Amino acid sequence: MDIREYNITYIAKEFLTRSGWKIIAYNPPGSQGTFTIPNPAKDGAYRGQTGSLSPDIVALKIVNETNIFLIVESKPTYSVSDVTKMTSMFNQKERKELFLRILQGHCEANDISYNPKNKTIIEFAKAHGGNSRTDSIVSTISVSQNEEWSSKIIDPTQDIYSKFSVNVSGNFLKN
Amino acid sequence: MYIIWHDNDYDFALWVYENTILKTKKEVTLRQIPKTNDSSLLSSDFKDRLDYFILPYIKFATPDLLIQNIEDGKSKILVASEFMTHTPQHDHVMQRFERIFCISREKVPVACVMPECKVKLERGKKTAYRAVAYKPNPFVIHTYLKTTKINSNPTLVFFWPHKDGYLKLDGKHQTAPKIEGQINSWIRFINECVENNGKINLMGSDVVKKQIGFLEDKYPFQENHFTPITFEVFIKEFMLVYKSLIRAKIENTTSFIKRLGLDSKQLPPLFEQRESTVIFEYRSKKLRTDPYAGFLCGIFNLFCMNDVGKKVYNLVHIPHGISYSSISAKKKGNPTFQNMSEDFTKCPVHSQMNTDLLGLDELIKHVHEKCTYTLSKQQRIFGTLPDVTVFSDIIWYNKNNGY
Repeated sequence: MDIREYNITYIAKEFLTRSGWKIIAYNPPGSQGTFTIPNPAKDGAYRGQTGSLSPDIVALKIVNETNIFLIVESKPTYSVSDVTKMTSMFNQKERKELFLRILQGHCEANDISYNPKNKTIIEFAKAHGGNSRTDSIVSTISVSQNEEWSSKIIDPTQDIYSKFSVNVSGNFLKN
Repeated sequence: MYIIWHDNDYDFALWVYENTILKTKKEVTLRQIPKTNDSSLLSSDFKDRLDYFILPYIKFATPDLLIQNIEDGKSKILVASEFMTHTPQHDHVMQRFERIFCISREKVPVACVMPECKVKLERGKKTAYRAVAYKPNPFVIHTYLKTTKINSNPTLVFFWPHKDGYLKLDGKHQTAPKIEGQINSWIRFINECVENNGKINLMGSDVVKKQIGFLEDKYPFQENHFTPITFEVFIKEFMLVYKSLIRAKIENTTSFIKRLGLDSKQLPPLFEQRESTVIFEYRSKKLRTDPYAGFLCGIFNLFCMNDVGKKVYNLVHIPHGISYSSISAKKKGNPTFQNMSEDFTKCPVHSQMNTDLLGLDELIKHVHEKCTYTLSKQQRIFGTLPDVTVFSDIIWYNKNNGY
């Protein structure tokens, strides 16, 4: 069964919430986005969004006084080129600093507490449909559908999460 | 039975269900609003004939939320709402106004939830990044207040809560706002619309009166409340208030006709009789709909309609740099824009009144034939609302009868 990108992003978000992660940003396909990370390589006078980044999910978990920020990108299928693109997100140091600055504002606004002075790790995860798999560079969240289900008509009392199965890889998601 | 129609975000629709009076109702379903620019999609996505009744409300574009009640085989749209998380300058707010425009015109209570303040990290040419706070211009709030006035229908703005310009999100459904402050008022508004079957009296609803008062106090026109100002005074003074509004200007109709050499035989009825003409102009490489289509709808309500909702000024659209020959060239399907003359008094998608007159069978038949409202967004809005569009190669005269 093919799974829509929206469903993958939604189920990944629900999985993270149920696993103790705090969701800082959630931007499923078609949404306007919580925030964008500007591109410092752009001309300073440029006001448009081209080159800006808006991760599908940004989540936080604090483990042993270490802040772990997880950036999740979703796609219907896994692809190596998507992983390469995602992990090159912070090739520019300035962009990473901007990202952390934006996160601090969002966390303060949403009562998500962490200590910015503690050690901070940025981890990447790929959420995808199809067969579950592991990746040596990023964590993975594999989403599969258990039964025939359409998101076009939904009974709001049903548990949508139970219609799907989730398999994860990567130390931060396994623990 | 209640249907919460959403724009491809069921998590958001769940937030609406869980936090409004709809949770106490027996039969509620969440449905995805189909795309309307291909009538075949309607056949696959509409599961019930009564689904077609939402079309007059989404004919320009899809709102984030539309609540429909179906009882004894009859449909009624109760309320609609748009949500925006972008920085609330002119363009981001106005580009969504075409949805509000259609719904309010049908006398269905409607709201837009937008940030009252949102920061964005920006820098100058050689400076470091700094947080720049954006707030709505009074122009956009006045467009909502004017629409409320001319349609005698609540067309409101509520504000998304924030802290220092960072938006507060719902902890469970993060594409929705945190429930505090103005969002509590929005929920009361939605509940009232559901409980009153979509009939809200402007003067009789506390939540509506309070919200209008709030907007009037916060966004005055000069030093006065906006709504009591007459159209004549507004037209004289607006340039002093909306200093950053560079896309709209008003010109005497006779001199405009002469200046552009318009063909009086092709002009829409009453064009020459209207003393003034509102010109909405911009430069663009493509005939883009965002932000111009929604903006055009706002300009129409704010500047062309008098205090009782009668069109008293003409509307002219000038997309500098766009040629008719390029946008009307036949591609795979329909061109972006083409010369059409549909009589909207006979189009069941055009208004609920037409749907009521012509009936459901005619509505379903019509949308699967060539209905303007199943074509490109450029066609639906630029091809219906302005009286005249001045392209770089020709002057296009509106032959539709509808607005």
